[in-house]
Amino acid sequence: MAMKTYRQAINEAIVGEMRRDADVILMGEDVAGGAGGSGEDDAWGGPLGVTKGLLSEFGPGRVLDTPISEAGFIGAAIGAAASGLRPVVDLMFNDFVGVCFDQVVNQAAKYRYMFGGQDQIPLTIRTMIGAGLSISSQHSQSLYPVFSYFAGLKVLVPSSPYDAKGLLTSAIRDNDPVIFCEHKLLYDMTEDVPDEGYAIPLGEASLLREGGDVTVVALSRMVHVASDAAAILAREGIETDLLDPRTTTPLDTESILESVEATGRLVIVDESGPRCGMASDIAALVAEEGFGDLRAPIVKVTPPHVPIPAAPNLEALYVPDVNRVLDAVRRVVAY
Amino acid sequence: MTSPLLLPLTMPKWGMSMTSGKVIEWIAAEGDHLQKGDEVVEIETEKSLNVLEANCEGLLVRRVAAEGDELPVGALLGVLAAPGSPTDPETIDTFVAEFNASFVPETVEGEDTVTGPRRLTVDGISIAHRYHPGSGPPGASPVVLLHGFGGDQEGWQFNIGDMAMDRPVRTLDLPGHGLSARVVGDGSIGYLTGVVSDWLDEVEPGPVHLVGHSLGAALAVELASRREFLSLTLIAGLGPGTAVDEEYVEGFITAERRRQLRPYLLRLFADPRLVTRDMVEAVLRAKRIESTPEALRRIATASILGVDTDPVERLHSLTTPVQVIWGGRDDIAPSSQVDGIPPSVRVELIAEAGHMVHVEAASKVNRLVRGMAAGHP
Amino acid sequence: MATQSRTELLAAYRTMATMRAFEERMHIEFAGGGVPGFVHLYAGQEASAAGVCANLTDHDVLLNTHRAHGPAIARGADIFAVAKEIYCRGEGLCRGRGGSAHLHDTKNGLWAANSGVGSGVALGCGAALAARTRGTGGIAVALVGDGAVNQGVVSEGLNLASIWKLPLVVVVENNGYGEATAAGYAIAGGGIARRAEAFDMPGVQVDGSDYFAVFEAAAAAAERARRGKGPSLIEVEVTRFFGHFEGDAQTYRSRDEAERARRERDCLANFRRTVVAEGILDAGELDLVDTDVADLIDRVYAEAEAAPYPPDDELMEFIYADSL
Repeated sequence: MAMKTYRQAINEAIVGEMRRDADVILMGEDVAGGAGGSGEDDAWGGPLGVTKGLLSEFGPGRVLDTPISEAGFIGAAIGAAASGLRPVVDLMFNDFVGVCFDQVVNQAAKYRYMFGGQDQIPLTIRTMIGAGLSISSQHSQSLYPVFSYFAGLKVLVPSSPYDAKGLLTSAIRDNDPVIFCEHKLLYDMTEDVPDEGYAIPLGEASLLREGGDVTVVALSRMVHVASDAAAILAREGIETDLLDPRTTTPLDTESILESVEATGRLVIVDESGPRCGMASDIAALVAEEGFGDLRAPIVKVTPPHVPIPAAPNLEALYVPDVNRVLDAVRRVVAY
Repeated sequence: MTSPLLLPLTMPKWGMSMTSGKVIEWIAAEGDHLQKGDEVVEIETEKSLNVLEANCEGLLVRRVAAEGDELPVGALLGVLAAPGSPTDPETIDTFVAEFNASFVPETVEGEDTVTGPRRLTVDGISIAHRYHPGSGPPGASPVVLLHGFGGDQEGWQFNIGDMAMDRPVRTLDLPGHGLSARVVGDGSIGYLTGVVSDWLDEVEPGPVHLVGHSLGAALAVELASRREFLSLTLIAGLGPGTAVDEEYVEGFITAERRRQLRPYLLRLFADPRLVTRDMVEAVLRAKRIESTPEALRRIATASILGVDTDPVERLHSLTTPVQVIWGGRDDIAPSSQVDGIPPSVRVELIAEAGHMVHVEAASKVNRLVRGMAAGHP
Repeated sequence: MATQSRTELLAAYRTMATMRAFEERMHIEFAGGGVPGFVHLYAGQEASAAGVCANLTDHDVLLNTHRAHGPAIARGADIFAVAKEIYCRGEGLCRGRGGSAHLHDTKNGLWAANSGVGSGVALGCGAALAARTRGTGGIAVALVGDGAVNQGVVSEGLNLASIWKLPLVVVVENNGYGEATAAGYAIAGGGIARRAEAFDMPGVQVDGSDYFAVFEAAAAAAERARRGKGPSLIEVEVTRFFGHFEGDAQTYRSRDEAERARRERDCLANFRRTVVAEGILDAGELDLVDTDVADLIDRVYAEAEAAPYPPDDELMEFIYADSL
């Protein structure tokens, strides 16, 4: 056990699985970084250094730099997965799914069902989500609700280094296509992470704080915003039951409903948009199946329905912050 | 310190791995009269945000640490004045200066401090263990605690503090458990005892008091036939062959999710409130480590379920002074097993406790262990 | 001239005759309203699939197009299960979940198309990569139509196959129309085969009414792939005898275009003429094959029509390999 960053935790999960299973390969733009150039072969290890060092251990047969060609290499990864490999493919920014949407949602997601269960697609697509770096709306979105729309995909949104390693390990071992959403502002977060391999089962929410006054469901980086808010609320005497679903497909509906049954109040903190997002989805779940337990209206804390701006002041208005969570919780508690 | 009436308020140690904390916000103001338990200052650690409470009544006369300071465990945060203490600034200045002059932050490597677990390679496998020097007289014989099946040394958290008032305390994570390697040989009591014995040779070759819980009790009895101990306390176990609920063992090993595990942890306690989310999470985290279920299964098969000896008979042959402590509501290892124990063995049945009697009735168990050790120096 | 034995040639004829009879019958049955969804018929293009598939082994993968019936039969899928899948029956290749355009048979190395055409080239790269990584000796052959070659994913796949020297053969069946739009209008650069040059791979154009030409081009490309020399592209010029889909009034092409093709560019007639003239096979044994095939097609359609739909309680089956 040692303190490790989210970035290291992800790297360890990939290394662990590549050592464990020769069918695991890594591919994507600059996953080694430097193929064919006049400098080092393992120059980048991904644009943020997450996969650094893998080329030297596993060689170019298993660590494949690709051209900027998402439809091509994600399609290839699906074909490789259908043939028995277990590709871990890097779709750098989740916003880029625009150019390979067909591969992800029409091929990977449907391959098993449309062909009557003949095949499995053990594919992991790693991709960065999240705003906060002033890099505008084509590099900052959180599209996990989009992926969650499609039956056939599994969608993971780890909020901490421990969860990142355990969930990525599960993703790579899973026999279905998994979209693994890494929040770019979490890469430097540190936490105790075991050196050994371990797998966190999919579909089990993490219960981060126990409290009887309000249920707060938060995802990815918003877990930390919600957690900071919960600490402040505790001083006001408001005890928060804080849940991080960790995976949006499968979604741990049971834990959410159970918590709302106990608290009667629900606030959802989500960096995906206010329309057709995870907050809407979870709100609908509780409205349908937990209505009788509610003592106040459900409140969603999400960004507004707008593309993400680059200007730091505007972006700060976009991303939910502690104050918005505090307002929401105080509102439902006072209702 | 110079004035017994001025009291240092120091950076707390929450959890074994905490080495420092950050001062987030002062809740109490200088001049506030605090009662024991009043919130004083908010501290953030690697793992949590928590509030430090006053540990006694007093006037907060100085806030030494500034908000935002990152300070080592034990560092001075502020000064409390007990009723009747001088509170003039000069006296407080002197107190602060002297405290800081003598304050040495804990070092992680030092043998004589309470530290996070350290590692030792025993019989080729990495063992996590801790040494708690305690505040007993120099030369006091140590007590060694052996945890039960599926547990780890953190399970003694309610016992170590009390016991360490008389003597040093040593704990370890058994092979296949906690932070020790998932290497368990054939999983037999013989193998596990061998590792513990070799560990003792390394860290504590002299005479010690031995305490074992459940599987740890089985190892303790086996150890007592291999080497000399000053005393033996067996908790919720009599030794190899103790009857244990098979369904519990199987369920504990196979549970992968919270909902699967929690019912089994509930069976360990008489009071269900003791099974917290954090406990369930901690056990799941340990069980998730690669090859843990396999290691546990091997131990369960060879050391718990497959042992065909009469533990009571074995107790008759021991020459070490022995006491047995059992929870009256033990749902894992029925307390009726203590019937027929030789009269030389003291038996304490704690009616209201379950299998985790050292957690549920910690102060009673601590008193019994301290008494046993004091009686056999 | 072909390097195939007499037995192999007789088998090739049987394959083509089966594809033809299957589609001629489908044309009638679909008009009768008994087939769910819509269907794209392969009649006229048979030599392409037959000539390509005659070069494939059990380790290879053929990635189909949406004009899927003929290639599925040529690749060796069970024709009864093919028909049942087109009829969306529970005993179909894909248990009634894919239908006409998605005939998929993993155990026979047949992968179905993506309805957003062209993805087979990218998926084929993956199949080829896996074959090389795992050392199976297999290759991948991606069939696409002329309509798909302007999809970005085809260019991306060709590029990837080339830089990674993958054992991939891309076969473009150019039937002259992407749906209703003529290939001559839609494709820049002086032809499909020429595009191969830009990706540094061999590109050839062959007459799809000539089984032997297709067979030889496919043999050369497969051989090159198996030797680790990388990908190739083959453009097969064909004419479809029916519309883009059944019910297509075909107002985009002249009335006699298909008629003329049936008269002048019928791969079955051409094949028969050649093998009889060369004295390899005699007309009598080919006639016998035709009779056999007609009988088979009767049985296939009767069985498919009579087969039940998949059970209602199977709706949620086969979404995930590891259930949620």
